Amino acid sequence: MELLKKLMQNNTVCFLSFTVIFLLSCGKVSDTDGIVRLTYWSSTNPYEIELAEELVSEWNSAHPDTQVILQPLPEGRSGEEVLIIAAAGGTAPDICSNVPPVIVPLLAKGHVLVPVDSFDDGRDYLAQRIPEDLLHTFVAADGKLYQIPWKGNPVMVQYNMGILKEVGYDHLPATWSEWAELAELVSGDTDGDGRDDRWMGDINIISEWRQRLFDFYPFFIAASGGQTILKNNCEINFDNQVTLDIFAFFARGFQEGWYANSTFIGDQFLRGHITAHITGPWNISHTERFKPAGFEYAFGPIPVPDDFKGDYYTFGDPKSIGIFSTAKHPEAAWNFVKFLISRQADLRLLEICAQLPLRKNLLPDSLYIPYFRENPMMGQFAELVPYTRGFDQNPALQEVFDAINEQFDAVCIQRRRDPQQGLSRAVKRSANVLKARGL
Amino acid sequence: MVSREQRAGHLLVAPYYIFFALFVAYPLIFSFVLVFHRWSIVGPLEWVGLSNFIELGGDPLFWKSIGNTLIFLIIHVPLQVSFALVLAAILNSKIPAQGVFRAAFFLPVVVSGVAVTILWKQMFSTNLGILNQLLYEFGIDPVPWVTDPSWAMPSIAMMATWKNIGLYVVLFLAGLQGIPRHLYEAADIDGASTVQKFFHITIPAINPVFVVVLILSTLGGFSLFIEPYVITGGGPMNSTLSGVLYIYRQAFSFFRMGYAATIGFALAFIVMTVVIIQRRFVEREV
Repeated sequence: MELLKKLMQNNTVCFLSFTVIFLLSCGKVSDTDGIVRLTYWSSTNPYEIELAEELVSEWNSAHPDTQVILQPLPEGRSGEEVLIIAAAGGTAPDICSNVPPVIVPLLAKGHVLVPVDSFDDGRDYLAQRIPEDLLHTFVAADGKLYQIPWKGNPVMVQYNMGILKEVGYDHLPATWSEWAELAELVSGDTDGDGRDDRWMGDINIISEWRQRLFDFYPFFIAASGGQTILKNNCEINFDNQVTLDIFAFFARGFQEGWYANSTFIGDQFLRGHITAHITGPWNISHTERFKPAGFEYAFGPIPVPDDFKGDYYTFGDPKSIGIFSTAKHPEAAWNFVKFLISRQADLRLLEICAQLPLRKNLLPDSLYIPYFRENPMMGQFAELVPYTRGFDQNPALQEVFDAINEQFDAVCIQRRRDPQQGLSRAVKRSANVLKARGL
Repeated sequence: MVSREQRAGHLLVAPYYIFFALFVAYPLIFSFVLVFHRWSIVGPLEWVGLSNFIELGGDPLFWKSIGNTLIFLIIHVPLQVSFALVLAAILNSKIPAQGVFRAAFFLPVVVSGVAVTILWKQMFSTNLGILNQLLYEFGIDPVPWVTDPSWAMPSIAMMATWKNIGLYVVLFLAGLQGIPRHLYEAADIDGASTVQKFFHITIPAINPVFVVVLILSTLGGFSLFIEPYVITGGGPMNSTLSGVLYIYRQAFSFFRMGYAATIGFALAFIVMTVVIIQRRFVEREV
């Protein structure tokens, strides 16, 4: 009994010690020594970790009184989920540079993010950096800016030029008719076994709203001349002929075998089964690394309707930086963020990560000219930066996208519903969602 | 006055109670509170009364997900129970390499569900999958395993049966090995055939195991998630949207925790009803 008692006393002490250490380690880093310490979460992408390590090291050397502690975003199914749970649990960092704009309205509603407007030079600083039209798309319904738009990955169409040469097609499609013309030429059975083995595109048939960001949504933004699916962040803006035409165009594609109604694993584009796919600048380094010998590729714009007139817009797949309201030193955090989005840091973003800063005059800027001279394909994407669109600022946006995704599946992939029926259903469900959430 | 021994006893069981309170009781009570609220994880709870239940009643996707889950159960449970019983009976007889077969059938149970599902996703591929490649060799047209609404759920049920059957084989095997030999010897003396012995001795004797297998299999079926999440995302046309996948979508894609909790309670009620009905019809005194 004595032994048990002793054992329990020891275990109790151990348990209590462990608990105290654990709880202390969960808290924010103390700054009682007069040094301001900021916690900063970067993306888990290895290139972005490399960039963050370099920038944090540089900052810490130059600012001994404000030290930044870097940590990649903790693992999770998605960055959205991790950030929301961290914010709810009070374990959010001071700064995160991997905030998906799609969750900013939700975080803003929960008063989790510090609006940039609360800093004296906040809006002016960003207005100088980002094209005005583009900056406006990040502003919340209450007129405040809860995110620092940092970088974007405008999506374009990447083509396997070997296939185009093989079928005798000498230019990249710019319109739907040209897309259809090329699709007819390339899709079908190439080895004579009676089974299709090559397609125009690889539409992801998984029924998940995010997949529509790489087919329906870029086509919608392009065909509508830069519009998004909500007007003024709250009114349905896809109840129109553009959506009907896109539904019909994709349905035709599946009907005629331009796209496979099949799941694929592995990169079928590099294997020559897929002629074209919608992707961003990140795919340049992937292609260069894994392409087979002699593989040639090029990037073209998202095709638009034949009678389209105006500028070519596309989906920008943006990522923002957020300053969390739990930050004890928001001004210091803002100063660090300004360093992260400085001209010089943006050059390193290009060089290390091959991602594009959301910045005015990117191409003519003398600092970046050598980079774009060496990486002409990145220049193509950079030209598009001012013509990118991201996400409407509405907390129920994912559900609206899901309503579209549901009908894209039924109308285009399965072809069990006509475009008008599909559109009516998507509009009805979206209206119900927005109404039910009081938005 | 609490004795030292009693105090020691309380301390020794305390970890379990703490675990239960933190990870079972608290989430359960909090979930129940949530069903009357709107909550997006960040921000405060907003009282909405019964509106989550009203929405649930008129939500076609919820009813679709329940219907899909029931379709899955109708295919999966009989398939799993009958195959598991047959395999257990074979493994209980004197066959060569018995241990190897037992391990082989159990292997998929212990392999990561996500890894297995990704493997099957590749096999199910309509255009480049190995299953359709095999069918092609026999001159059969490709089957849209997971890309056609009428094929998708049966395909997933087939895969889930393959994945989980080993566990139920082991349970049935334990039941079969517990049947006293003298019952079969007495039946032999009475001149009973193999079929008669199976239906009049084996089946009644393993009834408790049968009930356990049936209930576990049903509960497993109701928690269908990984397979549709990885392979189809709930499509095509929501034909593989299971109840749990719908909860997940509401909770972690749309951050509607109150509504997700409401679906969770509704699903728990449906599961309870089905299990009660199963027990009433199947459970027998041995």
